[in-house]
Amino acid sequence: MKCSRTRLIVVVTAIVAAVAAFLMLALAVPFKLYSLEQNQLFLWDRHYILSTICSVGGISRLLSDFLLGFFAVKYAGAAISAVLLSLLVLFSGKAVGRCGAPDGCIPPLALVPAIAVLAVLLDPALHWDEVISLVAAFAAFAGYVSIENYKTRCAAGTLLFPLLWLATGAEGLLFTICVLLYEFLKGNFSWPTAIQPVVTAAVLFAGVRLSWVPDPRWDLGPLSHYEWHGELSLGQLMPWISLPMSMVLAALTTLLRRKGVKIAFATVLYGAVLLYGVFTAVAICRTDQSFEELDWHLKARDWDGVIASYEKYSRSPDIKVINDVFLNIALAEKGELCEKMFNYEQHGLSSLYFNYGRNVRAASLMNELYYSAGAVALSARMAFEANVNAYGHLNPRMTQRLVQTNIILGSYEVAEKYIKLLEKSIFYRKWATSQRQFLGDDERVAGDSEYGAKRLCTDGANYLGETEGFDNDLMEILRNNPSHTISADYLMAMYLLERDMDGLALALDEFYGTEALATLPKAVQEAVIITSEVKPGYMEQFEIDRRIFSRYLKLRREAGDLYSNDQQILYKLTANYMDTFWLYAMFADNDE
Amino acid sequence: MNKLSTIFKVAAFAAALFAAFNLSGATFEGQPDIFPDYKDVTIPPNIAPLNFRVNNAKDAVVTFETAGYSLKIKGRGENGADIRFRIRKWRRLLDAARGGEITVKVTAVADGRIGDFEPFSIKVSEEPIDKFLAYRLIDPGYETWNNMGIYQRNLENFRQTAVVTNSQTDKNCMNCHNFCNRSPQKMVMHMRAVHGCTLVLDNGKVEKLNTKTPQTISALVYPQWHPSGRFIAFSVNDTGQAFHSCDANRIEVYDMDSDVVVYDTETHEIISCPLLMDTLRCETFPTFSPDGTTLYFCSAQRLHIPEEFDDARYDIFSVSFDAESRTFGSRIDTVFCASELGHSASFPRISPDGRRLLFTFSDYGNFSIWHKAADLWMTDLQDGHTAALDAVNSDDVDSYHSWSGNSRWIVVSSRRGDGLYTRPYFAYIAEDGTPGKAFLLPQKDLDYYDSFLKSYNIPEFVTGRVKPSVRRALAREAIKSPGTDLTFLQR
Repeated sequence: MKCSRTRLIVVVTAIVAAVAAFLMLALAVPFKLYSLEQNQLFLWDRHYILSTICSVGGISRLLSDFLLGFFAVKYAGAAISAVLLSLLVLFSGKAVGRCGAPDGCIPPLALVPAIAVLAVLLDPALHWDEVISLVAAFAAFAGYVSIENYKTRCAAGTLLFPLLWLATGAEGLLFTICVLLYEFLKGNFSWPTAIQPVVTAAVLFAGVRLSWVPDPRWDLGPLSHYEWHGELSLGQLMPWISLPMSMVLAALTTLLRRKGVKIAFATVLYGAVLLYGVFTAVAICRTDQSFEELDWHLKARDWDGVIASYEKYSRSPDIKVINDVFLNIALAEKGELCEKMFNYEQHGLSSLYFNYGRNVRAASLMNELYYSAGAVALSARMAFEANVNAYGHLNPRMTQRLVQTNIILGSYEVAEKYIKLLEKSIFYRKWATSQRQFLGDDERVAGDSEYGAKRLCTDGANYLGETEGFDNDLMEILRNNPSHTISADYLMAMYLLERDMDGLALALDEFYGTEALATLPKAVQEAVIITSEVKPGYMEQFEIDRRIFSRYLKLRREAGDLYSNDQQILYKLTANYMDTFWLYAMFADNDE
Repeated sequence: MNKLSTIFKVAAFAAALFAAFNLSGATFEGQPDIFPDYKDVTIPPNIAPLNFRVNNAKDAVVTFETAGYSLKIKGRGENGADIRFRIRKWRRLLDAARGGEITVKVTAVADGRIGDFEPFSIKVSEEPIDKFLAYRLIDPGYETWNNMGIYQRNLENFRQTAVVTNSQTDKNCMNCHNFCNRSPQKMVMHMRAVHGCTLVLDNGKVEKLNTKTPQTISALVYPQWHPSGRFIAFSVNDTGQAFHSCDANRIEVYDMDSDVVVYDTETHEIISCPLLMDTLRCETFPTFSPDGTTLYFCSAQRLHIPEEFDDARYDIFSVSFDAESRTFGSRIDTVFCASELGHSASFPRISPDGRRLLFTFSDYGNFSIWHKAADLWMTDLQDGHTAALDAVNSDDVDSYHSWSGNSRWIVVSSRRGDGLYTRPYFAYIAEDGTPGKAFLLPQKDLDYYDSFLKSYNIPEFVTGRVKPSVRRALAREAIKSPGTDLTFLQR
C-alpha cells in the first residue's frame, strides 16, 4: 500500500515537472531549443553510426544526435526535454524512496536533479548527450536499488558499470558513486560492496591506458560533455552531485524522530527546492535568445520576421551590434537597405560587416551576408568554418549552404558529397535530393533564379577575396553581374556606415546610372547632398528627390541654431532627422 | 506485390550464381567500373585486402586467378556489388601471386542482364611496403578547426589508431609530423594555439621545445630529420592565406618571407647560414639526403605578397652540410629549375636509396596542396632526367608525398576523389624508375570515403606502430612542461 502511494507521488511529481518544464521552455526559450538542432546531424550512415557507437559514451551521443534532429519542429524540443527531465524525476524518486525518504519529502528530493539539469540545459557549451547519459545513469541506479538481494544487487552493479561507461561515458562513474553511497547509507560494508569500486577503477585505468579516455582531466568527470573546459562551476557540478545529495538528505530523514523536527526539515527542504526551482526558472526566462530568434527567421528567409524581432530586441538596454547585421541583411534582401537603414540605430561598419574572429556563430552569420551579397566563395568558406565547428557531426544548414555554393561555383563533385550526406538525414533528405538536378548541368544552374544570379557574380577575373577590402570585392561582383543590385546596396551601405564619402564617390562614379545603380536610394542621396557642401555642384550629376533636398535645407537651418547650445534644439533635431544619414554622419560613434 | 519482388530478387541472384559457374552468355564491353579503381595496378605483397565495389551492378561474382590459386567472391549491394575479402584468403592470394599477377574476372548482373566484363590484372610486387602510414586527419578548412589528430594505419590490415589527438590537448592545432628514417621511436611534430610548441620524441622520451627565437621570423615549421637523428631541418615562415573569388583552387597560402634552419637536438641550437636566410629570397621545405651530407630546399625570389602571389616561382636547390662541424657549404647548387619552365617546385623528397628526387610541380607558389595543377615529378639524381609521373598524377591536386624505406613505394596526398578531401594513394616505383598506376588506401567499408569528412594530411611511412604510451607522453609533455627555449647560431 505504502509502495503504491510512493509510486503515485513520484509519478505525479514527474508529470507536474514535465508540464512545468515544457511550458517554460516552449514559452520562454523556444528559439534556443530550435538552434540546438543546428549543432549536429544524425545520419543513417553505417560509418557514422559505427564510429560513434564504438567510442566511449557513443550510444548517448548517437541518441542525442537523433533526438536533437527533432528540435527544429515547433515544441518538439521542449517536449523531448520535458520528458527526459520527468524521467530524471522518476528515477531520482525511486532512489530517494529506497533511501528511506518519507513520502512527503520525496517530491522536493526527486526534483533537485531535474532542476540541476534544467539549469544547464541551455548552456551553449553543453553537449546534449550529457542529458541522455544522466537519464541512463539514473535509470541504471533506479534499477540497481530495486534489487532486494544484496549480493545480486552488487553483482548487477558490477556488471552494469562497464556497460554504462561504454554507453554513456563519465556518467558510469556517477553510477558507481551512487552505488557506493547507497550501500554506505544502508550500512552494507562487506566485501561485495568493494567489488564495484575495484572494477570501476580497473575499467577506467584500462580506458586511460588504451586511450579510450582521450583526456582524463575532463573525460572522467562532470565536464566531459562540455565543449570548453574551464574551471568547474557549481552549476556544472550540480547535475552530478544532486542525486547523491538527495540520497543523503533522504537518509537523514530516517534519523529524525520528533514530529516537530520532521516538519521543520520538510519545510526547509520544500523552501530550498522551491527557491532553487524559481531561481532556475527566472534564469531561463531571462536567457537572451535574440541571436537564435533572429537566426531562426533568417534561416526561414522571413525578412519581416527578422525586422520585427530586431525591433523587439532593440528596446533592450543591451546593444547587440551583431543584431544589426541581421537587420541589414533583411533590409537588403527586401531591397530597402539604403532606403531604410537609418530608420534604425546603426553602430558603424560592424553593423554590417565584421571580422568573424573564428567565432562559429559569427561565421554562420557572415556566410549569410556573403551569400546575400553574391560573394559565393567567401560564403562557402564561412559555411565551411561554421560546419567544421559544429559540436556534433555536422551543421545541417551550413552543409546545405555548402551544397548551394559548390553548385554555384561548379564544384559538382564536392556538392554531391554533401548531398549524399544530407540524403542520409531525416529532415534534409528531400531537399538534398532536389539539388541533384543541378549536378553537372550548367544550363540548369544558369536558368535557376537564385543560383543563376549568384553564378553570374562569380563569372569574371579571379581575385583574392577581401585582400583589398570587401568593398572592392563587391565592386568586382557588380562588374561581373550588374543586375545583382543587392551588392550595390551593400557597397553603398558600407561606405555610409564608415562615412567614407571618397569611397562612395568612387563607387557612384563607376556604377551610378548603370543597371547596378539606376537610381540613388534615399540614404545615398542624403550623402550626396552632404558631399555637395564641400564639392559644390557635385549633386547636380545625380537625380536628387526635391523633398529630400528641401528636408536637408530645413535641417541646415535648424542646425544653425545649435550654436546657441540649446539642448531643446538638439533633441528636436534628433527627433526630426533620426532616420537620416545626416544625423548618423553628425553624431554616430563609428568606434562602437 | 512483395512476394513478386522477392521472387525477382531471388531469380536475379540465382542468375548471378549461374554466371559464376560460367553459364553466362553476354559479354559487357570493356573492363568493369570499380571503386576504388584497382584495375591494372601494382600492389605490395603485404597490403590490406583491396575491397572494391562493382559500380552499376547489384550482384557480381569476381574470380581472382593466379598461378596455382584461385579465389571466387560473390558480392551484392544497393549502390553496387561490394567485393570484400576475408583477410586470410587475401593473404593466401597475395602469397601465391607474389612477383606475378592476379587476373580478375568480373561477372555481374547489370543493366538487366548477366555478363562478363573484360578481365583486368593486379600485379603483386616482390617488394613490401612499410607496415604503417602516419597522417594527420583534418578538415580541409581555412582557419578554424575542431577535432584533429595524427593517426597511424596498419597497411597490412584496416586498423587505425591515434598517435595523438587534440582531444587530449584542449583542442589545439597539431601538424607537421615527421619520423626519423621512418622509425616510430623518433618523431617530431608541432602544436599550435594552446600549448603551442614543437615536440620531439626520442625512444619514448618526449621533449617540448619553444622554437621561436628573436633571430628567426617564426617558430619552426616543415620538419625533416637528418638520417643521424641528431639534426632536424626546418623552415621558418611568415605565412598568410587568402581565398579565391572564383577559382577552382579555393585557397591561396603564401609566404611573405621564409628561411631554412637546422635544429641540433643535442645542443638545443638552431643553426643557419646567410645562404639559407637570404633576405632577397624565400627558402622553404628543407630535406636532407639519405647520407646526410646534402640539404635540399626550395627557394624563390621574394616578391610583394599577396599582390604578386601568382608570380612566385620556386626552384629546388641544395647545399652541402657537415654534421660533424655543423656547417653548411659555401655554394648553393641548382637541382631543378622549375621557374625556367614557368612553373614552381615544392616538397622535395629524396628516395632512401639516394637515387631519385620526388617533388611537386605546380603552376606557381609553394603551397601546392591547394593547386589543382599540382603534379608529382621525379628527377633521377644519377642522370638528371626529370619527368612527370603521369601514371601517378591526376587532373586534381597530387601533392604531399613520401617514400617507403625500400624506395619502391610512394604515397601521395591527392584530391582526385571529390576535389576537396585529400586521400592517400600509393604507387610502385620500379628499379628503373617506371611508376605504376596509383591506387587508393583500401578500406573495409566501401562507403567510407563518401561519408568521411577529413583530409589525410602529410602521409608518412613508418616501419612500426607508435606505442599508445607515446600518445599520453606527447599530450602530458605539451600540457605540463614549460618547454626548452632554443638559441640561434649563425654559421
